Amino acid sequence: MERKITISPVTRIEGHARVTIHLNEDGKVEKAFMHVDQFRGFEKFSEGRHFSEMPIITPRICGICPISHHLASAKATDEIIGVDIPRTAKLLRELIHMGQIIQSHSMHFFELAGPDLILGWDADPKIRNVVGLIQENPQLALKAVKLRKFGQRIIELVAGRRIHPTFAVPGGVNSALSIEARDEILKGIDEMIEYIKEGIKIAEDFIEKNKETCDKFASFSTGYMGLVKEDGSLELYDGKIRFMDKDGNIVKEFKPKYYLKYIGEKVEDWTYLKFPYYKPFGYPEGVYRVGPLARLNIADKISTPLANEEFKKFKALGNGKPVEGSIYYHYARLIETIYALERAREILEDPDAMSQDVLRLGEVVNEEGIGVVEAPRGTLIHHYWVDEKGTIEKVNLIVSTGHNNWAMNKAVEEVAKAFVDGKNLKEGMLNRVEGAIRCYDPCLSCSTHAIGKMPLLIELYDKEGNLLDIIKRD
Amino acid sequence: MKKILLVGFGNPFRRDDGLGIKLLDLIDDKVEKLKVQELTFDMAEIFKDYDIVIFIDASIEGDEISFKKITEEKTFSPLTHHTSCEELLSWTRTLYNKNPEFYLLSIKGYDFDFGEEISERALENLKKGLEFIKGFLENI
Repeated sequence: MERKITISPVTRIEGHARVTIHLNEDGKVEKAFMHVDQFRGFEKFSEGRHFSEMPIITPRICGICPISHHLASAKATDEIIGVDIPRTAKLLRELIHMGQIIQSHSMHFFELAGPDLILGWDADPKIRNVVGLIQENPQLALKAVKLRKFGQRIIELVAGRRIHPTFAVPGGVNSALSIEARDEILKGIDEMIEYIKEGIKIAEDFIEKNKETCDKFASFSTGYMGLVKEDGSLELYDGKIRFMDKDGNIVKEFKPKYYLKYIGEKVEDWTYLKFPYYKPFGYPEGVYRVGPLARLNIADKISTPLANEEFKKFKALGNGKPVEGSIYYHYARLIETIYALERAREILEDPDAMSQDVLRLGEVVNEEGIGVVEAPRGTLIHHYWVDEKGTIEKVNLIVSTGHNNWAMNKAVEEVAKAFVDGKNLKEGMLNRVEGAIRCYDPCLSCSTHAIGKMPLLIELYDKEGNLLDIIKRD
Repeated sequence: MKKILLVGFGNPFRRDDGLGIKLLDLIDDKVEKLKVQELTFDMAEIFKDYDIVIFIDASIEGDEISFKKITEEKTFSPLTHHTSCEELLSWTRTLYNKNPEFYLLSIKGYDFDFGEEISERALENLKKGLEFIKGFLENI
């Protein structure tokens, strides 16, 4: 008898994931899928708007990484007016992007990954929460709050608002940096780096004690994609797109504006989310991963000293090959957070950051604009088509959770096959499947947040659709 | 005098999901207000400094408006970045040893499609929610 398990953390009405695990007659996993409702509606919603509104509209896609959408959008609008923005504007945009990376990565590590790494996969859900974390490490949660607040504060001080700012505009930014803001941020950086070092210690301890698990848990071959600087070092705001094959060979570097030539999107009938792939390799051979793990795999180095020291340790894990285990996303996330803090200091110590030259005005000169940044979860692409008046005719967004769609499905399937026993379902099994998804930090709570809470469910069905068993977590 | 914060959350570009934000626009500016798209754990650091925190959100189920006192839940959001009111109360109490009262006003919405306009039925509920909050604040 074929049976199906559904894990459905649908706490809101859209923008969430559902995992179905299909069992064979012996209770073994046959196949598993992660279904995601995508926010394609935002693309339609934007049509007919003036292009200059897009940096304000698109951040509403997400309450966690609005700055990434804000900046990718602003970069696309720069292209529409054909303007090379002032260096100061680039620096200040990158600075709020660093704030975004700090707040998002620290939130993920300490709130979502932390319970797995500190309390363990099999910990009772009743203690796998803040109280459990505090009992295990009393100061850690406080530091997590301070780190996230620090990232938010950078955004607030530079851009005026910590969520959904109107700071980046076509041609630059709308205000210069104040001395007070610069000094306040600089003052806090060293303390925040110390906090992140504690996180790295946790991750490194976990890796050391669980090396075999880390190497095998949701570990599989894919390509990797992300931005790098001209010299091949880690880049989050600008640069060129680098594609690496599964063996670690750099097979292509291209300007972001040529993304359509290299990235295709496969449609499957069981999910709204498409499956991006590297066109020259076809599908599924060209599937790839983005985000922290991918960025560190494709980069040759990191341009800031502390992060680069950790980067060397990360690279050693792969013995010259890409690091494939999904758990290593957590480690990579922390290394990037150190980079973001160090890079924020570099920007603030750059004399150009204080210049008043922050905006170039322009008219519509191009029918298309493409903006790409490395959002916390991976490469984010905004592509707009406009008419001669600047009215949006078409929008294409490829978000990081989309790029990682194939990988998240693969991770779920690998872990389900390894750990789920349909005849003897246990909480820890479910947590491992969720944990595989958590490695990718998908943005699943992006759009609507109307209260209508549903519990997390595992449901067992026979092939006729009869409910055989249910596990419920409120 | 009790220190009170109103927290409206939701996405105003998803029509009725913006009910919580919209209500704050209609409330007297003398009241402290915070508008956010979603709740996250770090907000405990803000809430610890208040005696009463009132959350206002759209609801997809239940009555036209409903109001309840939040009780602590030591929960864990397994996949999403959103933190519940109950979980936030737990963070606030545990991390800061502060015990503000949390309340939630839910206003029922009907249309959560893309757009900025609140549906007509939800607007009626919004009026009821506004009157309720005004009355509640007057009686504290």
